[in-house]
Amino acid sequence: MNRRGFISSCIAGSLAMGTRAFADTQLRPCSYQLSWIKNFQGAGEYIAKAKGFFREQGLDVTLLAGGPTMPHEPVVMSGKALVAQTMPDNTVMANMHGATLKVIGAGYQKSPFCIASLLSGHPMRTPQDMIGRRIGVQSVNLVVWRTFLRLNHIEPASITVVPVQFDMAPLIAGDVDGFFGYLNDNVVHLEVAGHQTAVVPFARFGYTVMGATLVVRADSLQDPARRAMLVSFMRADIQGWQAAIADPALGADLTVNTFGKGNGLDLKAEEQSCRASNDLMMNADTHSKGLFWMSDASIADTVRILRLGGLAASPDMFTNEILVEARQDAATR
Amino acid sequence: MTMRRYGNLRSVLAWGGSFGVVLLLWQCATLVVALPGPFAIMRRIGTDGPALYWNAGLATLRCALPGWAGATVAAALCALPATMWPVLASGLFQLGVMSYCLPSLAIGPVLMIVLDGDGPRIMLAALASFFTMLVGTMTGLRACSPSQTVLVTAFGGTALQALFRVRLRAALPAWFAALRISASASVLGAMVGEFLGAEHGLGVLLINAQQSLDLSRTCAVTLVSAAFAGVLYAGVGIVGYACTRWARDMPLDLARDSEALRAGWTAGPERMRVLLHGAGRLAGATVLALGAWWLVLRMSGVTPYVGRSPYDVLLYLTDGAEGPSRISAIAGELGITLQDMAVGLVGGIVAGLVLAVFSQLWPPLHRLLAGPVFIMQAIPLIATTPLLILLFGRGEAIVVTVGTIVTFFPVFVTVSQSFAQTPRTALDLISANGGGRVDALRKVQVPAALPSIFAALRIAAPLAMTGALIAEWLATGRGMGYMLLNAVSMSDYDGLWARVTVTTTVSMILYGLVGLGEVVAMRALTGGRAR
Repeated sequence: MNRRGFISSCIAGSLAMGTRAFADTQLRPCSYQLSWIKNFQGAGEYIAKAKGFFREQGLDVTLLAGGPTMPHEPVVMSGKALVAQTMPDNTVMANMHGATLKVIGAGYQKSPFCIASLLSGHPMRTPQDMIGRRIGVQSVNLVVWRTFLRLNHIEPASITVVPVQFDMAPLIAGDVDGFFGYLNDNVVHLEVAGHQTAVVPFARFGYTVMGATLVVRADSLQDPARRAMLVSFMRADIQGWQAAIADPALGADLTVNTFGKGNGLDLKAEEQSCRASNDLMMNADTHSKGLFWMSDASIADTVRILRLGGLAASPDMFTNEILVEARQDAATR
Repeated sequence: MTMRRYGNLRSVLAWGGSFGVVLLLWQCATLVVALPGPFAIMRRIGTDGPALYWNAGLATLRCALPGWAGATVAAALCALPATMWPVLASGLFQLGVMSYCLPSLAIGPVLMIVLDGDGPRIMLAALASFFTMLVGTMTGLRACSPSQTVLVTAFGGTALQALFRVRLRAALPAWFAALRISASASVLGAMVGEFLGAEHGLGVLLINAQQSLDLSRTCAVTLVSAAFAGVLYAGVGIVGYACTRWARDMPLDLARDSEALRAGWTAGPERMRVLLHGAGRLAGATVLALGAWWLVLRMSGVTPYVGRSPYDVLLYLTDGAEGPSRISAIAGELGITLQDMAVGLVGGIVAGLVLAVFSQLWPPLHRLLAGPVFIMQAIPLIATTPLLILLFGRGEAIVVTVGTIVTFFPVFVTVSQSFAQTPRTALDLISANGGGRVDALRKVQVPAALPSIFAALRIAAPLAMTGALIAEWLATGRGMGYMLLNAVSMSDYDGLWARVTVTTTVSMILYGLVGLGEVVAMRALTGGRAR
């Protein structure tokens, strides 16, 4: 594309956006902050957008891509996004530093965190296996890491923590023996790349904390217009995720070929990640109460463990009120 | 004419040869290190389809170019009044230094919530190029000789006419030089911005490649981003060459500008007055920086959950109960970072000086180095540091390597330029007395290069800070670089702003100290006659 073509396509693009906005004046605009750049973690939202679930609810939802150095809580606090997907430990820390956020649902009923290691290196399957090893932990996950060690009565000094980011090259190169990652992401990538992997799943060793939690500003629950948007959003979002769970290939296809198109995503890996996510999203509670539901027991567990990690978590930070309302309205419609 | 044509051909050949040497060395290195070689990467780009990289590159340019253009316009808007009313010059220049010293890693989250859409990435691209453009524009506007402007006024012209008829034209060479350097900087700035969250772009492609353990694509993206930066650099270079043919033999030294500024400030023999001047300038800069901070905070309407005013930072650090422990924690981190910064700076100075000296002794080396030097300048460190860790580990070696990579360029370029500008007569004197190249270097060129070494140091010191922060963040996991990111992770915005303030202030102080050292050294060297 030459320069003139490039510029005119920019202009054409903004014109097209303008006309679409004109046609959708009835729709209420809002933004959803994804936890990462566009990958399988937003599959349900992509379906809700592509299949018109958001539109049916009268919403024009913008999906904002996240990234490695981006904190999600400030985006919600500033009002740039109505809802963000994050982790409960981050939300509690934000509230400890003056934020007023509430968790209105949990995408993952159990923690996706694990320590991944290579069968060809030093495979680790229990927390005790990690003693004496070098483990790569991202700074954003240090609090979870310390909490996990305390839960399992492991002396932090007995393990060497190495600062890593999302690049797993240090694991392959043998710079670290284990890598703090996601069961449905890092482990899938390792296996798709042909590395046989052993894992220490945090959820199996006491870290029973919910994940992929949706946060909103507390005043959004009070404000009638925003509250109504949240109810509409959750209704469409649940619909989207139900479709994503039923058809992992659909979610992966939208991820790779529509929303994350041009970013070099691998269809096979994304589909496998979608399948692996299903396991984290569903349990007996979601079966009876619906996706994102936070049972009293899950909330109590999450609060107890986060407190063990030194965070001032409290049960009143978690509320199912939007989910309840979304279900009621869906039933009466 | 034939001489010149022959010379052009030779330099083109040398450039080609220099890139050839890089590729060859790299291909050989792959025999030892587990990194894909240039041929494997080319094959990879072929199988992926060039469109993947091209479109990602365009997405990155969509933020880099507006940022670059914005920085260019902003720099012109600052430099024009500063040239016409020199009173403004020092203040505006200090703001430029501040923008240069801000750790972009740490201010990203703030930009992210204040700006919409492509805004954060455009802003980071602009911040990456603003200071270079400011220096280049100011240098350019001072490039004409006073006699030329006097001529205009003598014929009844106004200051404005002098500006349009003489200054703007004379400004072109330096302006184009800055434009060229900041072009590649803006691409890297936009990529850093993509790590904060973006739909598309080279940074996004890189994240996915790294996450899926795709080493050859990781290297391909790194190379493609260097190529995009390189094409901009070369394109501006060609346009600049065409526009400034008349000025080919004019000496060009970006680093000289602030010298000129400083010469004005330190005028006057009384030491007391010089000191007062310095103190006044420092106070002015502080007031200006705090004012700009407060104003940006007020105008952007950033949520108080994230934003902190200078007063908030002061309260955080002087808190009765926790203040002392906070200060000692930050001081400890700063100590580590200053050490990391110092080793990087020393590495860069040594590498830059040694290579400049050797390429002076053996001129073909200078051309052969052009390729590697440029590639080092154009690759995104945020992408290559993980690869460098595989080669150099996580100890002192990686700190030195990253620091050297970021600081080596200004030292090498500035010192080489100074060598090239040695007065012919001085060299003739040496050779007439039977001296060789070594004697010329020792007796004339190195002493004559001293001002440019200081000038290069001034540019390199804040860069060394950036290098240290990146190495600490990605490799060593200690010091200010790690704790800045940690503060963001922990939502500790008080701690973040306090650290950003300390880091920026220290960078600015170092910048000033190098300038002071320069004045002192110049006086010692010239017996106080210099000015």
